[in-house]
Amino acid sequence: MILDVLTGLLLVAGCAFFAVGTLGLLRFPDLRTRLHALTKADNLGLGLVVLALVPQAGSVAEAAKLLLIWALALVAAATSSHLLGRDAPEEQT
Amino acid sequence: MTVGLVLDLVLVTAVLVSAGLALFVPGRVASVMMFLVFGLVLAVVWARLGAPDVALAEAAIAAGVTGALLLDAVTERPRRGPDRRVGPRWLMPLLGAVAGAGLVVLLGAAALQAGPVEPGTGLGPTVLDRTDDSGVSHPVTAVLLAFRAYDTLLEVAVLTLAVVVVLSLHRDGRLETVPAPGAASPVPDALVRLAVPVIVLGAGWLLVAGSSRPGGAFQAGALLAGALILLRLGGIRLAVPTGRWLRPAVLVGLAAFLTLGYVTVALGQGWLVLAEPWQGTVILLLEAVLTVSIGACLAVLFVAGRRPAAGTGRGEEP
Repeated sequence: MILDVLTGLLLVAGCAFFAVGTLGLLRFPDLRTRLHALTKADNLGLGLVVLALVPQAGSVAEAAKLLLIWALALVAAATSSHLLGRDAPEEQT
Repeated sequence: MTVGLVLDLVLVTAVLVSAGLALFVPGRVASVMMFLVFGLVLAVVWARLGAPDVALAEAAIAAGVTGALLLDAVTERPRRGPDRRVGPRWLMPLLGAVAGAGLVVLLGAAALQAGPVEPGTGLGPTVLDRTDDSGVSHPVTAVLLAFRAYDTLLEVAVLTLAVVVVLSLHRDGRLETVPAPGAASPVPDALVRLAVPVIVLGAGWLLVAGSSRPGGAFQAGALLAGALILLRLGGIRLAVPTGRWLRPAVLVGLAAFLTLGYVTVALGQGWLVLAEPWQGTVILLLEAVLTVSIGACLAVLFVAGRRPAAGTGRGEEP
């Protein structure tokens, strides 16, 4: 019961971060500020959703796989936004 | 209205919208991105339908490897080649529309002819009954490599043929003239170092798991191809076989499959009919070889899509 409440709270928080990140992606003026919105919010959003699912996992292995997914997404997102930010031409806004 | 129904409606809408956007959004990169989104949503749909094998294949091949090929194509190639329009302006759209309409009619007729399958009829129960005889415990793998191995052989042959055709477009028939990227800068290099071992581990897991649960050679091969492409882009030139090892790596899967067919005939069992007690082992070994070969084929397709170095290739300007 407590675990279910925890899952619900974390899911709502994660979705809120996704929503904020998407809002930032749509509203911010140039590539770097959009990346800023996207990476931080999406990584936290995914992390909170994963953390929400961990108490519902049937086994330790399942929970570990969920956390591994988060870790891989973090690394991939960090790398791709680094590359985008580095190679993008300076934009005049 | 149940939660599941709402989720299904959202998924169906997302599939249709992403497909439409992939076709009609302006800009080639944006279309490719929408196509990748379409592939991912489709993978989720397959998972919702209870077909995790197809979902894995869709995610790994359609969204993963095809994504790499398409993105490479739109970023490396010029926007348009020399104008080679044939005939008047309306000819090509008309031909496209006629061909599309023909396909829709044919597929629709086939779908109508097939009709709905009642639960508990069709080939499903037969497969489930006979899975234990096949040497593997996962019904999809039993169908792919025991009951309908001939179909899988032809799929491998199609992939191999595609790679051979693509290689024939390169002047040396190998890929030694395609320039390899130099060493990556520290951040992507760290990604390669972190991700490749995990991907290879996942590919091995999918391969071995394929005999008892969702997974198998095609999914594992696609993952392996992803790892090889990452390594090559990370500056490890030898990751994707070019030169001497190119043809063996591309052909070994088809060769192993054909050899297995001939051996089974020579043993008097019939074409690709496997018998006790070795069938489980043979299927796993064959899948291992297929994984390596499919991985090499897909990675070679990626490398072959890049331009050869100036002056050595097809005589194009760089």
